[in-house]
Amino acid sequence: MKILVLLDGSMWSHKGALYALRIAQEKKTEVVLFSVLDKRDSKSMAFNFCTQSDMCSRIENYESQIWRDMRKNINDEMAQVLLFFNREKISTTSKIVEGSASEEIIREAESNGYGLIVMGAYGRNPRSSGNSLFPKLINKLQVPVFMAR
Amino acid sequence: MRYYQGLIKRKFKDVVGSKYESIQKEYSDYILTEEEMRPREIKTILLPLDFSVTEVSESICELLSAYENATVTLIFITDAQISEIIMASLDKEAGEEFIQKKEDYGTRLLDDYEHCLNSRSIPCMRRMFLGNKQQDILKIAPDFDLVVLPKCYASNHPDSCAVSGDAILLAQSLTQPTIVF
Repeated sequence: MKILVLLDGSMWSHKGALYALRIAQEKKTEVVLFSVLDKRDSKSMAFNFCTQSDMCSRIENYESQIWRDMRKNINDEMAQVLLFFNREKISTTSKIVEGSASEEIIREAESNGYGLIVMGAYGRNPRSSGNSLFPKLINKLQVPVFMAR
Repeated sequence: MRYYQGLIKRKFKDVVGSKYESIQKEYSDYILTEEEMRPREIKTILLPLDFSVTEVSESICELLSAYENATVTLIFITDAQISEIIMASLDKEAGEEFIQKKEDYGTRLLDDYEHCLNSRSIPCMRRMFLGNKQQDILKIAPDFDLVVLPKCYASNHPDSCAVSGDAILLAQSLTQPTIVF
């Protein structure tokens, strides 16, 4: 059984990684840390900032800056989590892809023989609301999904 | 917890002292405390079943065997409201027959799951009752560390169901970790 851990930068997804670590230690399984960078996120952040701050003349600059920061951030995060898992002697690899989160996750989950997918229950949303990705994923996936809380 | 401290240091590397405390307070909807970040110790697992579950999932039994010393409680709920409607619209006998058929099915399903779990040395308890499939799970769930929910739980059309509305609603409403399979 291979475990796919979805990291989206939220603390809930990090908590998911810790649950996955325990299962992997017990079942001696391989873990893949997976993250999707979606250009629509940087676009929407830049647009919201420009419309709220009345500084839309530089919207392209904001968007490219946010996109650069997102890439750097997720690369750093992945490297740190990978290091942590490897120190715990769990065979772990990481993948970062660009595209639509639900489509890329479904593609990865279906093509690489996973036995479990682990995700944060709230994603990047506040804890008062659910993870908007969950209904899209569970509708398509044949693999059990662990929602970390 | 080393993982948590490393994460906070990375996320808030440009923030010092009391400023972090005020951010943590103001954005508590997004930030977990060290205590909240710690994964629960899984000792009790709730596995609700119903008529929508047509076969035993060996892979779920295998996965649950990762939780050494945990006890799984299997619960089979028959919809009380439907049996009441049958009794009201047909007769008492028809309602009782409905319940009996569902409970016969439930007994077989619980037997099969119990066997699947026991064969991996996972202790089980079982309950069967008439009730509300969604509300009763929400009421019972706080006594458990982990809920394991079938994808089509409470669906009236298990043959054509990809995922049920009740399974999604429960998975999003529960406050403990949840596996949907």
